[in-house]
Order: sequence, then C-alpha cells, then structure tokens
Amino acid sequence: MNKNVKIILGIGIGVGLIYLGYKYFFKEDTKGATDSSKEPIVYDKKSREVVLVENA
Amino acid sequence: MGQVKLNYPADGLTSPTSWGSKDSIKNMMAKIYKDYGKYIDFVANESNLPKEMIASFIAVESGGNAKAGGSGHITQGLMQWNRTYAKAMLEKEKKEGRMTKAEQDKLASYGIKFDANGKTRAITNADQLKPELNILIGTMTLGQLVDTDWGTDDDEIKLDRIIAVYNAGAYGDTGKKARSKQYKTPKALAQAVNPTTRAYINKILGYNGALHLTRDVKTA
Repeated sequence: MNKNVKIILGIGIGVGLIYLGYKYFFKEDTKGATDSSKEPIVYDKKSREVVLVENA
Repeated sequence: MGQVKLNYPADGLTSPTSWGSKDSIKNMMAKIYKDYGKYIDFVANESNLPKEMIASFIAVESGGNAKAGGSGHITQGLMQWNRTYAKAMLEKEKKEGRMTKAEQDKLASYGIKFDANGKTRAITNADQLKPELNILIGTMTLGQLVDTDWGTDDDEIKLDRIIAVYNAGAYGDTGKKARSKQYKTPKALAQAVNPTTRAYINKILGYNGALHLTRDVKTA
C-alpha cells in the first residue's frame, strides 16, 4: 500500500475514533427526549403552591 | 409539599440579544396569552404551576407557533415534547394519582382515555399540533420534572435544572449534570451545559428573559 494512502487512512480512522469517543462520553439525548416517566416523583403536585419571587 | 419559591431572574444570566429585543419578547408573550391564555389558565390551575412559567416554555420552544417543528419530527407544536414518551408520562400521571378529574376529562375530549389497567392510546403527531392538548401534556411533563428531588430543592423550584432536562433529556451529559444537584446556581449550571441548553436557560431565567418580562404583560 502506498505510504500516503496509509497516512490518509490512519488520519481517517483516528478522526473517526475521536468522534465516536466524543459521542460516547458527551452524548446528549435527542432534542425533546425528556422521558419524565422514568424519574421518581417525590412531591405531590396537588399540595404544591408556587410563589414567584422577583430578585432585586 | 406546601409553598415553594420560583426565583427569577437568575443572577448573572441575561437573555441573549439574538433572541430578540425586550419589546419583541414582550409582544411574543402577549400574543401567547392572547392566543392560548384560556388553555394556559386551565393547565396552570390543574397543575399548580405558574402560568408565567408555562408561557415561558411555549415562548422558547415554539414562539407561540402551534405548528412549530419539522414535518413528521418527533417533537412538534407549542411545547415541543416528544410524542414517543407522552404515553408513558400520561400513564404515570394517572397511576400515581396526580391526574385531576378535569385533566382526565380534557384528555378524554381528545380521545385519550384510560382502560382499567391505566393504559391509554399512543400519542400522535396530530395530537401534538392541537394547542390545548399540547399545552396540557407539556405542562404535565414539566410538573413531573418539578416534583423530582432535584427539580425542587430547599423549597425552591430549580427551574434551571428543569429547563436543562426538558431541553436536552435526562440521561445525556447535560441531563446528568442538571440532575446531579452539584450546580447550586442557574449560572453555574448554564456554564456547564451545552450552548443550546445554556441559551435556553438564559432565555427563560435571564434578565430580560421570558419570565422576567412576562411580569409586564397582560396575562388575563
């Protein structure tokens, strides 16, 4: 295999691995993927009274 | 649970100027109340969440455009929730006894009824495009996030965390940071998350953001 081809292939594989690593470690869910049904609920919405407080 | 505070605007955060001028944001909020005020009032009353908070999510998610979202995309409409998760969210609301009779009746009026096992039908793209239903389901989703141990902390609604999870999901990098409770201020969390979510937090909680400016808008 030509030396230049090997270099290009090496760079390509390296970039690909970096991308996959980024996706694995820093992945975000897709937009709007909030699955609230999996989050444990600990407060009762019926007794919740929210007071808006404007910071000075 | 009792009384909890929702503090705004957050120290050190400012709505991005690219989102619009103060007047344009006020005008958008006013139009949202004009177009959907009766729906917002209903869900605010049933969910015990402030209408200002609900309207702010509508503003950021869709700008008040009931048809917002790409054709066939999994998130659609005023509050841009994910229809694949809506069914489970509704069934959880029902199972945990959180759903009020008025909410259940409202869902039934859109053909969303529950069987003896608490199961309902799949939520569709067409459902997402109905303003009243979209606001109802979006607000229930927000309510479930508010009522987690990280969504409300020290008798205060942690809206920055809720925004982050609503926007980026609960289980990615941003969601994990939001749910970790390690970021004690909205500014600290905003600095730690991805730029899109950071902008979202600023738009709702920042100075001259939706929540800040809605105080000057006629809401009824």
